[in-house]
Amino acid sequence: MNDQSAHAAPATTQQSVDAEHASGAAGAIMLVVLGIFALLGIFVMAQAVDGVFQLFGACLTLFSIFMLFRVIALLLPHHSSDI
Amino acid sequence: MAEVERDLATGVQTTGHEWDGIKELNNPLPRWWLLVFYACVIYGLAYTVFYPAWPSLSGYTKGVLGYNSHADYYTEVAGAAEAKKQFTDRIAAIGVAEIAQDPQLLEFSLAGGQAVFNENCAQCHGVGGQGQRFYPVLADDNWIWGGKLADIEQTVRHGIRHQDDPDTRQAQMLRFGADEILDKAQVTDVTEYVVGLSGGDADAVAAERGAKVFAENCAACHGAGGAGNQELGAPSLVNKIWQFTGDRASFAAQINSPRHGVMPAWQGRLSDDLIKMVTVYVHSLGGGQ
Amino acid sequence: MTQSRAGVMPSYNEQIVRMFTIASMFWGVVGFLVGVVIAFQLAFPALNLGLEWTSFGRLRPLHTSAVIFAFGGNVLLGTSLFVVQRTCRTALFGGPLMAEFLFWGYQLFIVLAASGYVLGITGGTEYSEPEWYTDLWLTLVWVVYLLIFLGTLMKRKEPHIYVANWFYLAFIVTVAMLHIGRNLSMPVSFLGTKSYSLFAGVQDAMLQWWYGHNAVGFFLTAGFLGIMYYFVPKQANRPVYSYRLSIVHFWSLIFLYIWAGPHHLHYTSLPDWTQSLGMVFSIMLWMPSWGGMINGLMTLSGAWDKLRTDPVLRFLVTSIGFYGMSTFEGPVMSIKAVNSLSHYTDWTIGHVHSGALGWVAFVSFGAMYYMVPVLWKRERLYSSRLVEWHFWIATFGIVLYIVSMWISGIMQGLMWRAYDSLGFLQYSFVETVAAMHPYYVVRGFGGVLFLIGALIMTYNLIRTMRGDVRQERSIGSTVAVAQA
Repeated sequence: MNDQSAHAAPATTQQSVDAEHASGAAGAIMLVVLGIFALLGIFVMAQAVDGVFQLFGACLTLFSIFMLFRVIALLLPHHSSDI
Repeated sequence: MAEVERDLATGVQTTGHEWDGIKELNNPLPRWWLLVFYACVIYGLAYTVFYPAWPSLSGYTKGVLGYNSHADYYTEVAGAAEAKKQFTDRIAAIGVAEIAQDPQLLEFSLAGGQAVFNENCAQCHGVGGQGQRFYPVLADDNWIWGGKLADIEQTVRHGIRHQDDPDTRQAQMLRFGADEILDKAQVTDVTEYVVGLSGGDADAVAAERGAKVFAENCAACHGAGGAGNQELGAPSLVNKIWQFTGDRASFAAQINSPRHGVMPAWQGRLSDDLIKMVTVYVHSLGGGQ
Repeated sequence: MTQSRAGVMPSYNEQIVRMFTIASMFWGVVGFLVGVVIAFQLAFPALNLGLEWTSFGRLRPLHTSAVIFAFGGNVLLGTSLFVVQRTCRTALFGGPLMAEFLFWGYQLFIVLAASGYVLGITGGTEYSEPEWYTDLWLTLVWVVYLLIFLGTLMKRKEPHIYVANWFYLAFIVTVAMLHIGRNLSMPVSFLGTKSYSLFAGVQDAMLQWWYGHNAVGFFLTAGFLGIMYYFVPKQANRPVYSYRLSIVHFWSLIFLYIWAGPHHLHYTSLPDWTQSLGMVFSIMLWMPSWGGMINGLMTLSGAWDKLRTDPVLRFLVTSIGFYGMSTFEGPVMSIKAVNSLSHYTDWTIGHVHSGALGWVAFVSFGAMYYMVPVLWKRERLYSSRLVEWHFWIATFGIVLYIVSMWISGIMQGLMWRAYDSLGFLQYSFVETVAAMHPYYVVRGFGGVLFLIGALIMTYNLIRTMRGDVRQERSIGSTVAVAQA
């Protein structure tokens, strides 16, 4: 079991691009797409012919709003705690 | 590759590739693996020569054995019918009473009747006719509509309260309470009487009054003293065998607004010989008269 | 051992793999729990509770989808993103935004599908029960997945593509094809849940089992072989046994698997020629399937002693054993003469679970036990002893499950076809149900054990994530060692 330390992930170096933070251009596209999803969800909620389809609309809207927050979080500069 | 690397533990060459520390040995395909694979492929191709297999635009290869699963099925079913024909032909020609007299036909009917019963009747009446709540036991000698061969055959063929069969067995107990034929006190009294009939712990005074109500309203079908009447499908009230629940509250509910058992008619669903066979089988379960 | 490759180390997106790992743990427990509930519903129908939402008919697809698509799917997505980055030495294509969309989009698919089942929305075909709107959503998510995976392969820093990635890519591409093919349907209205399949009758049945069988073949076999090809050599710290075998068995497996579906429709109105082809392709599939088993097991040559001390490796190796067993059982059951006995019986259920519990779940457990210390940068698991407990409890549970289903299935098949000397059926259906009852109870307890094992794993992994280390004797030694 002790050899597991041998395959720990390589440390992030200063030079490399951080793979866990997003670029602005991709973020902008994503925000537009998610906005459309959110509106689509609201439309479905309002117009659905059965209850489960309304639930689908609600889920789609909630998902889009939640993802918006995630996108924003990923776009913000990385605040390291050890500054 | 500049030089060939060898694995220390096995001495086998590696391919020289490496991903995240994973290397690959250059072992050949295991011989047995390859041979079994070939054997499976050869078997598979051979199978398609013998059996229907390869499609074309206009049809498919029929295979040298001429196999056809649908034809096989019809052949087998016809063969099974042919094997039974010597019995089924005779069963078709005579009545249930005569079938029961013939030892050979009786044996055949008991076996076939059991199969029919288990597939069609056991869901309600239980395996072996043991009955369950709401569905009468067929293995005892208490019968609502009669336990003679002819009675049972009539019940099987036409059912009980089966709407689509004009010959079905019909009997409708009146809604004595709900339709206000009897008032509440009378219902209570006659309930006490019925409790007493089957040996229950009844209020003697109320039962006394109830006896009169019973004689005027119930005895016509259930008989004086509640002995029952199989002609009318009126169950006995004295033998402690209940199709529904046998307590005071259920008696009152039944008198107030009765429940009725329903059994479908099997004529038209089962062939004539199967109906006769299942009749003989039910008659044999223990209570046949 | 990789000095020659030292240099600027790439930065991997590990956050997304951590998320998929946690989702796998969660959905695994949910799926196993629902499985236990429906197992006992079959033994004791009163557990349906008389409510439409908790009836067997609605919970059964909830169980199958939760274990296959929610648990298995999250494991596949998580491990594939873990493996593809490391074996290509590059970060994920599309960056964290696409990866996060994939993660949350996939979870939304699971929630939409599961809530639909419980509320009575179903397409009615096994393993493809979600209705058209959920199917469309999954299609979008799956395209994103394909883009991420393919893009990462294309920008790889290694000259060759590792074999695990071949299997993952085959899984992703084929599942996309199967999903779209099976779910071609026409919604009744664009604002309602109901839709009708584009196909009817026996063609719909054939399409269904083309889909259903290859869901097993490409979701549960090819995808998990990808897991096997990375985690077994890593955990054993040995080279893969044979590169040539991996090439031959990969291509023969994916070529042959796609034709085997008709063996689910033996002795039905499906034309005889289609049934024949389904059977012979299934038989030819035996050795290509076993190629993966040989490559996995023989990778341990030179390292078999590690099985004594490493319970994680034991999970991986046992999973390969179950894989070999069920990929032998499968071709046997596809033979028409065998199938006439096994079809529609619990034998099929036992077969599926020897693959699902023994192979899919065990290889997933092994991969998760490997990944969590790596992803959370821990030196070791919280407890190897608990892994050992998990292993034995779960293995015993699988044995109870499979053996009870073998007995009950074969008994059921024999009772259905039993005739007396006069040519009449000997048993009624209800008698077979009564005869199977004790085996249903045993199967339920097997499931309980498997669930307990999964809960032990969840506890162990959560403690590992928190950085705890249990003071315990290391396995194989008798001396208590304090490991910090």
